[in-house]
Amino acid sequence: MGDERRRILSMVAEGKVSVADAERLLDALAGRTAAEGASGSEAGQRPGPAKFLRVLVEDNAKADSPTRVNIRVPLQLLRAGLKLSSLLPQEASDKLAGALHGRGIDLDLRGAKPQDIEEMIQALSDLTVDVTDDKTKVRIFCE
Amino acid sequence: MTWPPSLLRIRIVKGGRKRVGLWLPLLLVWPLAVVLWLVLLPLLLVAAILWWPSGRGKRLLLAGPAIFRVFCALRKLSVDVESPDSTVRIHFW
Repeated sequence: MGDERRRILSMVAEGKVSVADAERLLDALAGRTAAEGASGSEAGQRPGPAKFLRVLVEDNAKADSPTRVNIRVPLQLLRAGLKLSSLLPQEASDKLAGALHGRGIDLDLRGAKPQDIEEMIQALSDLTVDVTDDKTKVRIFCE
Repeated sequence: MTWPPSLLRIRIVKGGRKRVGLWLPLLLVWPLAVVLWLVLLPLLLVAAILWWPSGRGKRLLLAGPAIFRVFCALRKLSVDVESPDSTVRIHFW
């Protein structure tokens, strides 16, 4: 885990990732470490590299007919998309960053290098998000 | 090397009636795409040379392979949304 933590911190130091994003990543990392400790998983039994980002949503607002979302995105697609976005003209990148900011997403990929993108994807593969309330379950993870 | 997706399945059901049920063999679209690319290549090269001083020429040249990589990476993408009144399924193979 030390390597991943150091990588996130170095990305913050280099200005590649915002403090808020790094905080989320570190929280996710800490949560995973705790879960691994609790389940007593053996060290060295790490599965192979993640290939897909999964998003599972189950909304049971209508008990008889729930709404389900199941999305599987190849990480290769994220990688290729981020590389393509780094080729966008400056004006388009500015508009994109502005639109994302307007939706509360402070993700600025202007000036991201291929190496940075690779590091981000690797960090993402350690991310797990679990949100559960009375009627809704959301799970985001890599597999 | 990652190959482009060879099959696309789109299924949309709304109000219990199938609106779209499409099996698209992308494998058959590849030759057309290659021909189109070969036709457009000289124009792209000319545009890239003309725009080179402004810095856009290089981006234009790099965009082609980048878009192709995105297309290839679509393989195994799957989106399933099921709600009480509609279902949407999109799968790339």
